Amino acid sequence: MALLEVKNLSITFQTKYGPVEAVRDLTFTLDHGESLGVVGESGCGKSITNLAIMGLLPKNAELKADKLTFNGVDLLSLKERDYQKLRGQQVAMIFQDPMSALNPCFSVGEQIIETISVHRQISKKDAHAEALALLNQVGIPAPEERLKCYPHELSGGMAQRVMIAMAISCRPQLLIADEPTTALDVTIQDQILNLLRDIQKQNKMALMLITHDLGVVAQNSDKIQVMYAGEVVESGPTASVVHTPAHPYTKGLLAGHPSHQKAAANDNATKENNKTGATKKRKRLPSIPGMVPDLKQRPVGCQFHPRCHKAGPECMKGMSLLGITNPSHANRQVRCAKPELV
Amino acid sequence: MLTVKNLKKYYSVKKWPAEEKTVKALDGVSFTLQKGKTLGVVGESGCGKSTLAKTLLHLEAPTGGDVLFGQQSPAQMGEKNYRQKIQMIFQDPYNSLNPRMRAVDIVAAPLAVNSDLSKEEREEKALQILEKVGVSRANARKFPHMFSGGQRQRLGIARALIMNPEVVLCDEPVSALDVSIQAQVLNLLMDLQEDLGLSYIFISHDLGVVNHVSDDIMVMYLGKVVEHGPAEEVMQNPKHPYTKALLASSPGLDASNRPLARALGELPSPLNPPSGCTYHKRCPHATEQCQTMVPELKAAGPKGTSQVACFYFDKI
Repeated sequence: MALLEVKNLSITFQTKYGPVEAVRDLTFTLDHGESLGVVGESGCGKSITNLAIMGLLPKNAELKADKLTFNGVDLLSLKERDYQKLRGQQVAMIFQDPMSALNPCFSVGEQIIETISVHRQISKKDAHAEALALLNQVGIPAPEERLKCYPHELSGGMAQRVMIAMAISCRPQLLIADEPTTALDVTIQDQILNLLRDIQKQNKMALMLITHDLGVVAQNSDKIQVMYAGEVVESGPTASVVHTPAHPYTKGLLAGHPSHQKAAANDNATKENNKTGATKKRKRLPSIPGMVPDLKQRPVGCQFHPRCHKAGPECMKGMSLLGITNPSHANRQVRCAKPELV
Repeated sequence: MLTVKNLKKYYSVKKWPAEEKTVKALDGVSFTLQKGKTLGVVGESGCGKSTLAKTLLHLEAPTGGDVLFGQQSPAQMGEKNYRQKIQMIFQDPYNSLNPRMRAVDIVAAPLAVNSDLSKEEREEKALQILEKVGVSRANARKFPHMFSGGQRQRLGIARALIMNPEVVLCDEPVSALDVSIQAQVLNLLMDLQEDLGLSYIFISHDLGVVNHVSDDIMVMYLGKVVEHGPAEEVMQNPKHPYTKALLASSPGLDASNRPLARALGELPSPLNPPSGCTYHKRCPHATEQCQTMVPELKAAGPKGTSQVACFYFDKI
């Protein structure tokens, strides 16, 4: 049995403009100990999906699904009291900006101990000892002093480690990390991602890593799901998708990602120009024209077709997520009338 | 064309009951920028790149060192003249535009302050430059909130260019944008550079982006330059341990790991910089010498075109 099963999930908001579908036709599973990277840009629905799983959607959001289960438990019919037992203990979440997510009025120690105490019958002394052990596990030096600190006294990287400590305090089976390193410097980002990977292995924890950064996902997830305008447009094993993307949007994202390893291509152009004495002409990045659609006025059929160079009349019809029948690309799915594995 | 020599900017911080401390935000930065070229400035929080931008724009007066435009200092050229020649594109396209002004007025505003043109002439110039950056005349009378992030950044670019500057400071111009829009805006910046012969100082934490647009790259750490050289050399043959750490940490699309190059520990506070080489506490190769002595920039690389501030760069 998979840890998390989502089938045909949709989230619709009742707004003054009428109903707006933020997410639709969302289907995926996550097994124990597996890491899933969810990639997408503004308005693709990646963050709201997390809230749906955690039962934290706002009141004007309507959640519908054929199936939404965690460890066999049906989340759609779960009462709030039972959801509160689930959150923090079996499913935990860490957010993008640790400074906003931590309560500025309480010390770090108090906040970790609170999380532990809510879910377990444990004495204050033991909870304190647990909190110390957790801070050690997440790599915070001088943990005894740090427990007394307030969030504003910590750096961004430290605060994120505290969040992680809180999140894993009850050894959840699933950790949802929503852009956990976007607000952090690159060398600290690297440390935090390594930490998450280590904890995942130690605790045999599943991880959902949500980010817009393709590089982060490429290095830190077993499988990847690319979202666009509330739909999954491509999914599969990370290495396979990053190496041979099938959907034009994924290809566009990967091609437009300026990597320091692509310097070689620029280099050859430079050397050629230097030989001829011409002024250096830097290569342009392949870019996707246009913008993400306004969800209040969705395009007909494929949501990406207005920006797609391969769009044709068949793209105006409804599109489902279909498996790719190429045997050398197992477990791949793509939502496209004309997918091309290159 | 733009020469910066030993630029220093120190701030004094007095927090009772502690003693007065000096934050050396910029501690001796030197470089030259040629016409039509791009200098990429890379570094993390506290390295001084924002201070560098503010000091170059003369929004802050330097504590020491010289800035020369051609052969003249800003004082010799006159403030107004200097400011015309060097303009800035800001990081946050949401906060850097006045929400109560229409796009065309935002872009025309610098002309209102700095020229004798009539309102119609200013508006016409603004509309022309907006078209150049890809914002149509039909959209020019909209307010900023009616534009997307990428479009707002285009407004910021138009505003920077309307004074016909020679040097444009780009402070993380694409960091706040969606990935698919980043490529569009970067391409626009490169097109404009070729078209108008602009020089860019491109500040960013994203090594991939910096590598793509820069001719030279300068790596900063706690107010000092630790490595400086041609982009290809710095990216493919980094010599300073910090540059290596940055490259190793930047998530590329290839799942390759370089564990030895990783930086240890936290970024130090500029209020309390380590002794000797400011990087020594995080450097896997640090020795006693690194704790006590400050390394100077020395020529390095195959043609001596790079500079590195490390005692052991050729041994590690």
